[in-house]
Amino acid sequence: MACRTSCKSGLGLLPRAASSSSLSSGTRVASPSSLLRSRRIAVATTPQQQIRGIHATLQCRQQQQTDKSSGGESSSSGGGLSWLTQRFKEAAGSTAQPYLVYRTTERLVKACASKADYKISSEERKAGTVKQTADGEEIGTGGGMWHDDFHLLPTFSTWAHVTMLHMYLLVVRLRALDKDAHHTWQSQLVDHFFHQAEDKMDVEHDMGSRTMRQRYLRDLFVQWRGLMLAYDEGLARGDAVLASAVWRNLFKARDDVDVRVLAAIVSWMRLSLMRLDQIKDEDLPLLAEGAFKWPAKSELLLVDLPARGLEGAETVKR
Amino acid sequence: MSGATRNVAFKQFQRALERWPKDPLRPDCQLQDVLAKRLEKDSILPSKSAILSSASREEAELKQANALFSLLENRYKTKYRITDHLLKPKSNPTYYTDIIRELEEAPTRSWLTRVAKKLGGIVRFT
Repeated sequence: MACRTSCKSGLGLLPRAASSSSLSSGTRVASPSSLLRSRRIAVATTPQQQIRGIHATLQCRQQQQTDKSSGGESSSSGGGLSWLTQRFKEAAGSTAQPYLVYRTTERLVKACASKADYKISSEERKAGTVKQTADGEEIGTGGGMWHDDFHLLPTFSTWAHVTMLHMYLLVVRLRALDKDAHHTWQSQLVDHFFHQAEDKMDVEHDMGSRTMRQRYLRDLFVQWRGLMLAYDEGLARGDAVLASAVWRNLFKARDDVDVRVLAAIVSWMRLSLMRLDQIKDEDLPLLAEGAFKWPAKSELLLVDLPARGLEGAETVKR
Repeated sequence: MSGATRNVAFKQFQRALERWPKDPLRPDCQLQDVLAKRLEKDSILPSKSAILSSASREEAELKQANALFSLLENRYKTKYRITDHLLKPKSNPTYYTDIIRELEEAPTRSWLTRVAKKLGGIVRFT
């Protein structure tokens, strides 16, 4: 039967490395004609392509069942279907799938970027009345915790730093994947962020010149690398160092920083990392965003608890 | 009474800043130096805080000092513990120890070592 031949030739094309030995027993070298018949089965060389290479008609499954039983595999008790579900589970669990990684990182960056999002109205732009800081940064309108409760201006750099802070926490979690998966995830995450940053420059700040955007993106990249190093140092050393890092990066080393807010942000960072720590690798695509659900301002309650070193602590009301 | 509490807040703030860790890599940009400037001014509160009554001002100032102490005592590091799963990550188990070592060595390097490291870092094999 055509299916049997094509399935066998398809199976012959699947790599032996990642899978059980039962496959090799039922296969033979694919002839060109069988390859033509089995066009839908891609030449599978990577685990990702194996998924596309799985030909899942009922006849095929039955064929696989007979192949498996003749090959002497003894693992499953459910028949040919369990082989298929096992392969799907392996594929779904493998965190190096490029398309899943692309979609997930895009969704994660969008979620991170929405925390301190801001807009510059087109009326203001046309009238030329966009507010600016003393350094010449354009101020838009935003809302939410980072702008209102933590007194950060709704500018591009606030948006970028809040997004990079969230991304940093994800990167710490992603380091716990194996080397290749970590590299894939982190590079995709960073790529999406820089695409969105350039988009923001173009749309909100009317920066049509590509050279200018590239210049700011280069600065942003240097800030991203510096920020990762500083936060890593804070993570390894202690809360005071982490607070200094947050002050230098997020608050741009300004004079009128509120120490309670710094402490709340440090507390929230460690809480989010603890939550991310508890998520298993295969659950990351679904559950990573949920680690940020607890808002940082709720940590102010913990910050205000009397510290051991503080004398006159009884006057600090909770 | 209010004056005494305010003095307490100022003293605590000063004590906390003295205990703050020094950063050899960024000598010009230290949080404790910037915060110490507030001790010379009237208030240790950030300038953007709302105008408060004197009692709530003292309380707010004490809260600022309290926040500094909470950071110094590593309250959040001990409360929200992170396991070795993140601190010795699978992709590079010595990542954080390497970073701390690099950061400790960096201020003590000579110009020649720095140039050599920069050139060495240009070539990447992995």
